[in-house]
Amino acid sequence: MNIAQNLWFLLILPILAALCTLVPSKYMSLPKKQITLGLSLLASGVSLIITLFSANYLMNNPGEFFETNIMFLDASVFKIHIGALLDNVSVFMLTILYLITIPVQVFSFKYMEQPAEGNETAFSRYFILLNLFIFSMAGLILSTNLIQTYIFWELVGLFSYLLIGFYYKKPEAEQAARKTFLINKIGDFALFAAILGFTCFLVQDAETVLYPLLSLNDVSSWGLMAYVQLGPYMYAALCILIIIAGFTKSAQVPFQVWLADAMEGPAPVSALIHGATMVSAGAYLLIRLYPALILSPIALKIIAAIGILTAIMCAVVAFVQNDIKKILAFSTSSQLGLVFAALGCGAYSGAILQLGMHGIAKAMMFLVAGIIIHKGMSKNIKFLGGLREHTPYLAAFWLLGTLSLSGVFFSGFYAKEMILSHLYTSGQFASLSFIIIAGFLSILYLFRSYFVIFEDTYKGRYDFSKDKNKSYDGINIYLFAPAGVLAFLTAFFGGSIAPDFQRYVYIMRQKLYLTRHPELEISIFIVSGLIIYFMWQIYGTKRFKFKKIRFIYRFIVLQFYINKMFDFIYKTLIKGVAKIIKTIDKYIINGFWNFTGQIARFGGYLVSRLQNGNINSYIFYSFLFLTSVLLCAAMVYIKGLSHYGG
Amino acid sequence: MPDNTIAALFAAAAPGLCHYLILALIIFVTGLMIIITSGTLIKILIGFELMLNAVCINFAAIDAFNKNTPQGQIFTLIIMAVGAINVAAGLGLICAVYFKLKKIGTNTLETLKSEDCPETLEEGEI
Repeated sequence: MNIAQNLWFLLILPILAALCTLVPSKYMSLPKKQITLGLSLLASGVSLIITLFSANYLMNNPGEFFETNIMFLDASVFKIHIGALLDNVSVFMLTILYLITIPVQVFSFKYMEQPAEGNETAFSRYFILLNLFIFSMAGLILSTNLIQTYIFWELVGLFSYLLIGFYYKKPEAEQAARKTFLINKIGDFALFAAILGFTCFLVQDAETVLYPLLSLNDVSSWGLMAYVQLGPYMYAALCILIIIAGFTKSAQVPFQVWLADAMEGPAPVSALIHGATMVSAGAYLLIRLYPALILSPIALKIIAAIGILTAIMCAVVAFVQNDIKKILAFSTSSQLGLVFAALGCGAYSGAILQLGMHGIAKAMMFLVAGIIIHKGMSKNIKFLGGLREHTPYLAAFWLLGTLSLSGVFFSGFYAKEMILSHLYTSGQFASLSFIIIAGFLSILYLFRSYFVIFEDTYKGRYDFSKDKNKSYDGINIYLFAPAGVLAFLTAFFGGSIAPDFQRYVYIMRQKLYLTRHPELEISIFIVSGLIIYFMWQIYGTKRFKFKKIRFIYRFIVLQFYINKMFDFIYKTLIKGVAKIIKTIDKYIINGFWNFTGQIARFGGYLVSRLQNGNINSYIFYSFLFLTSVLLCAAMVYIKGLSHYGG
Repeated sequence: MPDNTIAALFAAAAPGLCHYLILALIIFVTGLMIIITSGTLIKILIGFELMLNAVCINFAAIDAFNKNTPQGQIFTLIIMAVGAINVAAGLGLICAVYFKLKKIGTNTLETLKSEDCPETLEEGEI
């Protein structure tokens, strides 16, 4: 199978699927909805097959890559290319993307069936947006140069805005979507500034420019060139801009505020975007640019510091949340903080593996939360509980997810172990201890969520008796199977690829071998077990209770007032500046143009005074005009005669 | 001496071309003054006829002193014919105005007067 020729399919198939689903679903009977789903699944399925073939090939021949470029923009001073680059990192991310997308699409076929609150065309609009989002994400993963990454970065932001604000008639959804977009816009601006900073030093000598510009295949070449020309401080500033872009997209502190509000979107959207793909776009950018970032140690320190800060802070905030999806949102921030911390400390392969495993587990948990919401049970975990007796499958899935995310067992364990081993081997004990603390905190909130939702007694009003003897606990097969597939992947995917992952994904074409440290793993395992036991006692069987300290509780719940800070920035600064600019525009600039209009009007006034209704004056004016014209003509004629002899 | 100058002033030269042109100019300006200061539409027409005749004198004079071409005299005939047509058309218009507005002064047709213009001084109606 010739992979290089099929690279373009990976980019184009989702757009074709999106175009084919352009049927308004007001006229959509069931067969048409299934055709939509079928086309979507066909596109994603073919892309997945191509990706798996490529992954197989690339795994057996490490060090190879496929790249194809076409010229997108040709200015004579520089050229911009768009293409597809499949190497080991991107094929892994692409596999994760399609492995998550296909269950999410099947899930949303059933979840989006009934339009919400008067949206008749919701179904078809949803699938179009979903396919376009997959296209932009695939384009971002496959991008060959930083400028293409920026193009698809913006597209991802746009489609995530459209998908989060899917129920656009709800004002909260619209505000949440706007907040997402504005905060991501900060990152877009930073990324663009960084691109400009890097490009202007690369195109100075037109003969020696390497195309594609800012190629991601060969980052160290232009990174070194920029470092040499810019000096360490300017280079660090550019790297910080790129890091800010990654942080805004991946919801790190202080930009994590959009992720909690983005839960207004439908559950499969949260599964895809905020569990798996869009938030990993920020980390993917930094992973791709790692050879450039490594030249500036300050940049790496900032990544690690903010990663650890986010991991700890968001874990603490997730501990006090009562909405299922918000717990998962802060959990996403926290786990991605772990990824960034790993990246900043040098655990390249561990960061990538954690990105993938987190994506799968988080998507699965979002789908389970979607099932809970779809069945009509409350979103608030205070009204849930005891679901283990009623829906044992969901309990099993959620338990799988929590064990994997907290790094105790299953897939997440391998990722965590890779990161911790790297830190232990390279002797960064401070970061190591912080990451271990963050891991314990994540066990705290994850198992709190498990025990509150699935243990104890049910406190809601849902009637379980009608689901008692149905298969799959009365959950529709379209909703159940995707969650089941993802749960299976969570359990076994990590274990199957982790032993080879070291050999497969390595940094800068050099191999890194890690040693395992059994003493570290066992001690963490024991402490995790203890924490799980304590959580069970507190939340499961309610044997211990602890008082909430009002002040600290409020502080945490308001997300350490970061949300208020952004509100303040938005309302006073941005809106205030907007009002000032509006006043300037209305009175000063408009006033100037009104003035020019007044001048013309005055001229017209002067001329209209000539029309006095008196015929004699009209005749006189016309006579004057005629005479002056004839005089001018005569003067020109005489002058011409004197010039040319006559 | 004063007698000589006065006599010199009133000495008649042989009529040359410029005398005729000056005559035509005087008649033309007279016609123009009639038009500008008339209070009646018919007076405008009379002044217009005078201007036409002055132009005729101009053409004929130039033609009389350059004996090569007869264009001046032919143009004079044409001007006279066209002038008659002009007068016919003008009188028709004046009749229409009279039938409509019952007056033919130059201050009767002032519906297209703009509001910004200063008020006219005279208030006589003809």
